[in-house]
Amino acid sequence: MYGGGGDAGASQFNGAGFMPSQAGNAGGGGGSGKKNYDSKQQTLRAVTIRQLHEALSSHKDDTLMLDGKEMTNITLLGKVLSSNEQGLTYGLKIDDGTGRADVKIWISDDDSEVEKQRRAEWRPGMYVRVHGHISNFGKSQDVLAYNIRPVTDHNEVTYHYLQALHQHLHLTKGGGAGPAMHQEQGGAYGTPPIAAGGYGAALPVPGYDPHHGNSALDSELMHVLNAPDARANDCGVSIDDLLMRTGGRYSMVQVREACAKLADNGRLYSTLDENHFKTCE
Amino acid sequence: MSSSLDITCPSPRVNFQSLGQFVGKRVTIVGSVVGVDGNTLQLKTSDDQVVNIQMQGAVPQCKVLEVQGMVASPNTVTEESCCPFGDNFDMANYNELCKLVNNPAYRTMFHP
Repeated sequence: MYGGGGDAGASQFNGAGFMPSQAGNAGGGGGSGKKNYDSKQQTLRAVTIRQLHEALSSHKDDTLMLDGKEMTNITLLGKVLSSNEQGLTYGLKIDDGTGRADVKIWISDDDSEVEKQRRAEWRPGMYVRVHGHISNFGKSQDVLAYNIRPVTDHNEVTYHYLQALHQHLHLTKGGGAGPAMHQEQGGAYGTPPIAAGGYGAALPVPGYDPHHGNSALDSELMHVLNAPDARANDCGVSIDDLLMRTGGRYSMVQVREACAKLADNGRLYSTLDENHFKTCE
Repeated sequence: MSSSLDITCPSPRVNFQSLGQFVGKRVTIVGSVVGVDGNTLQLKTSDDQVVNIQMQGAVPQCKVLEVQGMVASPNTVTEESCCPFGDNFDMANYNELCKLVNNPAYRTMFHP
């Protein structure tokens, strides 16, 4: 499962917290009663109708998969083509340019005027944002919405497509938590986690090769540590001082990694704690 | 199992550059309205070229318009429906999106 602690790239698709307050409304929609969902697996994916179609036509059991990941909650964006009210559901047909989808939302007789007014805003020709899930209710698979709202700033149209593309690429090409974590553990043995790559990983800094270290930074750090004042101090030099005395041209991460590497190579050692160093030379 | 999704009549998002590939097909095109002549509307696309839109109905009063329609020729589109996109729509971003949507590496997410 992704969404592991350190992977910021994936955590934004983790819809944890979205479901609990909404589950009541969707209770009749099937699905939610069958499984005891783990909130960590409650993903929210931005998808195109075409992607959703692909996921639906290939799925076998209860789980809906896209890009190799289970999909629970989805968000769609499209232009309303038509609307209709059928008993307890209100239906919209939306078109996002990649396809058309029927979206349903539960309504009740005692809906307030405000609710009715909200529905009146979902007029044909207008763009709406839909948050929902797929239900296998009856014989058809429907997009069952938790919420529908009109789009007022149309930059959201551009945004939705880019978000769908971003999530697709993130899940298919990079940033998977598994391999990245392995790499980070490897870091203790001298390979900095920067090599993990992928979207969620730290950005490599230009000119800094994690495999070979940065000889300029290494020699500057050693120069500072070999200076008489640093040798004279029993505690050595703090990492903050090292950062400052290398002239602010390096990041804290770079300095810390260079120190770890120099320590591995036996050129310096940590004193009070892992933030203070002294030279071995 | 029947599905409530239909992908048989897509209308891909295009800029002027990709419009030519879709003659005889439906597209979605967003542009700034630069002129109106009877039923014909001149739309400046996100990549700064002018396309003639044959409007079916009334011409909406707005700065940025999204048009869905059939591509009659590489610079003419017959409108089927349209939607005003307000006046703070970022054309540069949208143009980048059009390029990505029609990039062979990603287009399967959006159209056949």
